[in-house]
Order: sequence, then C-alpha cells, then structure tokens
Amino acid sequence: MRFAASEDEIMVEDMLDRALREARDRAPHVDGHAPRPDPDVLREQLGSLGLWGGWLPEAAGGADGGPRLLMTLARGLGRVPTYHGLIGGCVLPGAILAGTARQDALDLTARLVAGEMPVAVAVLEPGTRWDFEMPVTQAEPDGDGYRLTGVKSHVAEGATAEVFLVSARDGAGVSLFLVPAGSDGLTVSPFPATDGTTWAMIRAEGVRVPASSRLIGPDDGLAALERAFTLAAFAAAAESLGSCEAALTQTLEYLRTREQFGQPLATKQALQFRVADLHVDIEMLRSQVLGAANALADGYSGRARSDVAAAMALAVQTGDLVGREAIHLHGAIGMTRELGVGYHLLRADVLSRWLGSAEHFRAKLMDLEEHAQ
Amino acid sequence: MNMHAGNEVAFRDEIADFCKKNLDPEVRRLSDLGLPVGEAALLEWQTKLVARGWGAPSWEEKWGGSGWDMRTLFIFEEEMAAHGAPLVGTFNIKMIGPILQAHGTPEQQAHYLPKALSFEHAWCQGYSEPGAGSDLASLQTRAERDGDDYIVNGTKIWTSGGHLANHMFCLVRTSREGRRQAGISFLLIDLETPGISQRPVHHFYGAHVFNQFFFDNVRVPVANRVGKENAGWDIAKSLLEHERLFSARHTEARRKLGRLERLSKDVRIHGRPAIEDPQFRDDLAKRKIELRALENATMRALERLVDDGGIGPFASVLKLRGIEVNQRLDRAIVQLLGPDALPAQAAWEDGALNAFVPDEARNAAESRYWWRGPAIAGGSQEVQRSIITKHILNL
Ligand SMILES: Cc1cc2nc3c(=O)[nH]c(=O)nc-3n(C[C@H](O)[C@H](O)[C@H](O)COP(=O)(O)OP(=O)(O)OC[C@H]3O[C@@H](n4cnc5c(N)ncnc54)[C@H](O)[C@@H]3O)c2cc1C
Repeated sequence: MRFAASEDEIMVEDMLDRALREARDRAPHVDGHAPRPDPDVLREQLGSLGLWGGWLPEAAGGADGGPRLLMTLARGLGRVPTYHGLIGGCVLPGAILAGTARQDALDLTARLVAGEMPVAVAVLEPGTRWDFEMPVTQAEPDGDGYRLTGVKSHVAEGATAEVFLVSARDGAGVSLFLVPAGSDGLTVSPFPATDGTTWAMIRAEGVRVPASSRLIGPDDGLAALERAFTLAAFAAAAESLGSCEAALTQTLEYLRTREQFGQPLATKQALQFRVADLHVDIEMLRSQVLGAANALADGYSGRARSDVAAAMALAVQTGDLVGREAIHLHGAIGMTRELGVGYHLLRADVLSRWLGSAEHFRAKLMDLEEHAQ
Repeated sequence: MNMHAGNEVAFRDEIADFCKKNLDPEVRRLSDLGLPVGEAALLEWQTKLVARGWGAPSWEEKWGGSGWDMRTLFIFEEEMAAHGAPLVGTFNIKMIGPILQAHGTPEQQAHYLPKALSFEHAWCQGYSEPGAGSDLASLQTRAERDGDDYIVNGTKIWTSGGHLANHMFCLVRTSREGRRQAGISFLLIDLETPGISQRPVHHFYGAHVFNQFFFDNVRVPVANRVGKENAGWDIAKSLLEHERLFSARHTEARRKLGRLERLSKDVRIHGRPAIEDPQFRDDLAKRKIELRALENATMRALERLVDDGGIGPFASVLKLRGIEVNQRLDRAIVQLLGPDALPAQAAWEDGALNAFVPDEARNAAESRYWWRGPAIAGGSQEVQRSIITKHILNL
C-alpha cells in the first residue's frame, strides 16, 4: 500500500478544510479567545458530507473508508483547535457497535455517521489508569435482566450522551451493556478537562437493565474493547500529527515575522536548529502513522496493533515536545489564550492522559511483539 | 528489471540465495558485527559480484551496470546488507563511477571505468583540507597550468582509506576570481606520481581510516581533469542527495537491534534476563519504535523517488535521524554489556576471550566510536539542519 495521499484523500482534506472554515465563520466570537470552529456545526457538516463516519464499513452505514480515511479525518481535525469529539463520540462507540449485527446497535451507528453523539463508552475506573481488563463494576443476574453496580471515570462525551456502553464483570468475563442515561440509579457528573472538553464521571447503583441490553457477552467483551481502544489510539496519533504540523507551521510563521535585535528571529541558528529537529520528529511520526494506517488496512493483526502502539508512543512524545517548543519559541504571547498556540500542548496531554502514556504504549508494543513470536 | 510487488519477493530471495552460496561465513560474521573484512576478502567478493553482473548495479549497462530503477537498486542494497554482505568500494562504485559516466570524456570512461569495476584501481576522495571542512568552497590546494599539465601544491586531509588507494579524485583551486565555488576543478590523480607524500591519521580509539596527503609540485595531465576548468564544484555537488538517501543506514540499525535483542536474553540484570527488566524493556521499545519509524520514512522516500525521480531535502531528514538511531543503538548495546564492552578489538584476535565474553560483545564499543564519524562527514548534522531550515522550512 502506498504512503502518499491518494487523489481521494486530497479531496477529503479539501472538504474538511472547507467545513472547518465554515464552522469557524459561524461560531460566535468570544473576547479573549482565538476563533474556533463551532463543534455542532462542524459535526453536522462532516456528517452530511459522509466524512464523519465514512471510515466505518458500509454494512454499518459508513463508506468503507477504513483506517486511511480515519487518519485523514483525525489529522485534519488536529490541525485546527476545536472540541470535535471524534474519538470519544464516534471512533470508540462506532468500533464497538459496528462489530455487532444488532438492529438497535446499527440504528445508533447510523446516527453516529450523521454526526450525532448519542453514545459514550464508559470503561475506565478510578485508580486503575488504562487497565480495563479487570473492571470492578459488576453485572449481577436479576430476574430476566441484570443489575449493574460500579463507578466509571473519565467518560469522553459522557455529559451529553443518551446511552452509555458500560463494561462490567459478568461471570468469568467482561460484558458490554447499553445503559440509557436516564436509568434509575445512574448518576452522571459532568466535568471539564484541561483542554476545555467536557467529560463525565458515572456511578451506577444497582441499575436494572433488561437482558437485551447486553450488547456483547463475557467471551467477547475484552476483545471488542481492545479493538476499539486500538482504533482510538490510532486516531489520536493521527490527530496529534495534525496538531504538531499546525503548531510548527504557526511557530515558523512567527519566527519569520517577529523581529528582535533588528532581525527576524528566523535568522538565529539556535532557533533554526530547534525547529529543524521538530521537523525531523514530525516526519518520523508521519511515517509511523502512515505505516500503522496501511498495516490496519491490511487487517487487524498483531503487527497492525504494534504499529499503532509505536505510532501512539511517538505521538505522545512528539506532541509533548512540539507543544512545549511552540509555546517557548513564541515568547510571552505563546502563553496567551488569545493566541491559542498552547492548545496543542493541552490536547497532547489530554490524549495521553486518556488513552495511555508513551511508556504504556511502549510496554504494549513489547508484549505484542513477544506474543507474536 | 523494474520492481513491482509481484517480483519483489522473488528478487529478494534471489539475493539471499546468492549470499548464502557465495559469501564466506567468516566474512559474513565479521560484517554482521560491523567489522572490516579485509582487502583480500573484498576483492574476492567484488569479483563474484562482477561475474554475476552485480558489481556496479547503479552504472550504465554498457559499463557493467544493471539498468535497474532506483527502487530495485535500493532493495538490492537493503537485502545485501541484511545478509551480511560487506559494503564494497563506495568510492569506486558509488562516487567516481557515476561521476565519470555523467561528466567524463569517452577516453576517461574507457580507461577508468573497467579498472574501477575490477578494483584494479582503488579510489579515495580528496575534498577536505585542514582549513576547508564544512565550508568546503574555501579549499586552497591549487593547480596551475603548465603546458599540458597542472602543477598541484597543497594538502588534503581526512582522506578515508587513502592508505589503501592508488588513485584520488580531488577538488583543486584553478582560479581565485569571482565566486569561490566558481574557481574549483575536479582532477584525477595517480597516487604514484612524484611529489606526493602521505601520513596516517589515527581515530581516537586507534583505527586507521584517515590519512593526510601532501602535494609538492605534482604534475597532473590536463587530460585528467573531469569536466571544464572551474566546473568542479557542481560535479562534486551532483552526488550529494543520492549519497544521503543511501546513507539512511536503516539496515545497519536493524542489524544492531538484532544484536541488542539477542543480548537481552543472555545478559542478566539483578539475576533476571535483561529483557524482563522494566527499565531495559522501555529503552528497547524506544529503539524499536524509532527504527520502525525510520524504516517507514525510508519507504516513503523510496516511493517518492519512483514518483518524482528525487527526494530533495528529505534526504537530510533521513541522514540526520538515521545516524541518531544508529548511535543510540550502539550506546544501548554498550550499556547492556557493561564490563563485557571493555576488551579492545585486539583482545579478540587469539580467540581466548571467547571463553569469557559473548561474541556479540565484539566491536560493540568500537562501533559506537566509529559512528561518531558519520555525524561529522558528508555534511555534518548541523549542515543537514541548515538544509532543512532553508529548503524545507523556508526560514
Ligand atoms: C569518518 C569521516 C570520514 C571522512 N572521509 C573523508 C574523505 O574520504 N575525504 C574527504 O575529503 N573528507 C572526508 N572527511 C571530512 C569531512 O568531509 C569533514 O569532516 C566535514 O566536511 C566537516 O569538516 P570539519 O571536520 O573541518 O569540521 P568543521 O567544518 O570545522 O566543523 C566543526 C563543527 O562545527 C560545526 N559547524 C560547522 N559549520 C557550521 C555552521 N555553519 N553552523 C553550525 N555549525 C557548524 C560542524 O557541524 C562541526 O560540529 C571525513 C570525515 C569523517 C568524520
């Protein structure tokens, strides 16, 4: 498979740019903030263009665009600061729902594809970082249904979701349940994260759900989560790539125009070499994200998973470095919300806090390679 | 032949098979450890390659080349390195050969190319001088016309392999007017010519790679000039991009990673194999990831080479990172070995050390020292960063 963007991909990039511009033009101006695309307008636009869920298989209402389309989309969104919600609102739930053949799941997927965010995935639990293999949340058989009890932390897009996909211990395995947000015994506590996005903590106290709410049974739950989080990490790596590209572009533009000591900062070799090194790091990230996209497109193999782990390990490291350097090379104005270049560091941090640190993904890569032998 | 997915596997197999049948196991072992294999072994290997039609694959077919496209050439090099084939005749095959084919007279081509291919001539590169390094255009060695000869005076330094060579291609000053670059010519010098003397310059850890040459009224026929007078700079420059792509060195890094992984099962940290140590695992994962990204970047470059015929300053990205990846792997190997990286190369010669220290330790430290060099040569890391700044980032 090729690395260079195909004509279709270049077209998608153009469509995305137009949608982002339009959503920015229609966003209300807020004093003291850099202008940003309005996320609702953006999702609606991308949904109607068929881009938002176009990466999903046709059977699930997508366009079979696969990992390459997801990469193009996430990277493009990463270039422009906006609360897009792609990973929590579309990738995670989409990957899980599309893996089932149930009509209610496909109905929800159709809404995802249109740019709505009806479903949030509630998997992480307090004090366990990224280990979702052993949830404390428990599903107990109760008549012809189940009773769910437990706490789920850091649920992306959880504040506005209509339905949660909740993982819970179910006998010897882990199952995934569809739980409506308004269920008796379910409390949803929204909170803001450091990048300005809104999340939620969820507490289930003996929430009663019918048997049919068990979307994925105890034998397949962990595999479904693993797959969904692999795809989420891939999308996050692609988003980071876009974010790094944008941060560097903005920084270069500033170095060209800002004058000190009677000369543009761009003439100072100490600064030139710093940005040259960032460029090299970003090229390596780009190469690995492309490699992971092509490996995933060939099938969900151990190699593809380790390529994703490698991409995300680089993304976390590079996103952090580029985010810090972009601020520093701007001087004091880099610290301001009004300029907004600091968004890239905020976002790099949130993606890594949420999906895993560089160390986490390196350990994953090692385990995957050992199991492949 | 041109490469496509269908015959690539077969081509790689063919090379693997050729290496298995023709490569002396001892030579393979030495080159797997990154050690020089010796002049006699190199000559023998080149003779086999020439017989197979693979002696100078990048050359024109009429001079013994293969007619392969760039992608095929790249795969050839990658696969040769992966099977422990020694790197042969960089100066003969990768440098003077292409230069003469592009810029030489028919007489120069007919005289020099067959001898460069057979290794009857061994070439070295005389560009750098004590006062002219990164700023090569400031070179001072001068060539003055005297009838049908030039009289050459001056000195060349850092000449790799000069002690094994009998010919030097050389940049000399033929004019002091106008731009400094516009007063440089490209000369071919027979090192037997009277007036030439040389001395070895040893690497800090003892290896003999470098030499210095002194030219005292050395007569070089004008017929030995390649290209027009004062056109030498552009001739020398024309090779650089190509040189950088092929020096991305991902194959060498892959070999080092294999060595590090083998060692990580044998060397123990706190009584357990190193591979089980969390700190070591994390470091190993870093090395694996950066090499994987470099390999993907190299494949991207190759794709562009086929699409566009060149990769421009992306070559600088590859050189910069390719060298860093190699240097970090060398460091990781030495760190893992600990005291086993103490013995110098000479300690291995009688074989007694093998009872105490794993063979994988051989040349580990020296490789680390050797790899300081590529970061300085061929346009230093700083020169690459300047190219990226100017030609990619447009600062
Ligand atoms: C292993 C090895 C093999 C070699 N083989 C050959 C050979 O066969 N033939 C031959 O002709 N030459 C050879 N060379 C010489 C090589 O081309 C020079 O070393 C190289 O051009 C750098 O020049 P220099 O060593 O004089 O360093 P200098 O140019 O003096 O540089 C010293 C330091 O300053 C940095 N520097 C220089 N200019 C700048 C700048 N503008 N901005 C920022 N930093 C700068 C450099 O990167 C370096 O770190 C070899 C060198 C090595 C290390």
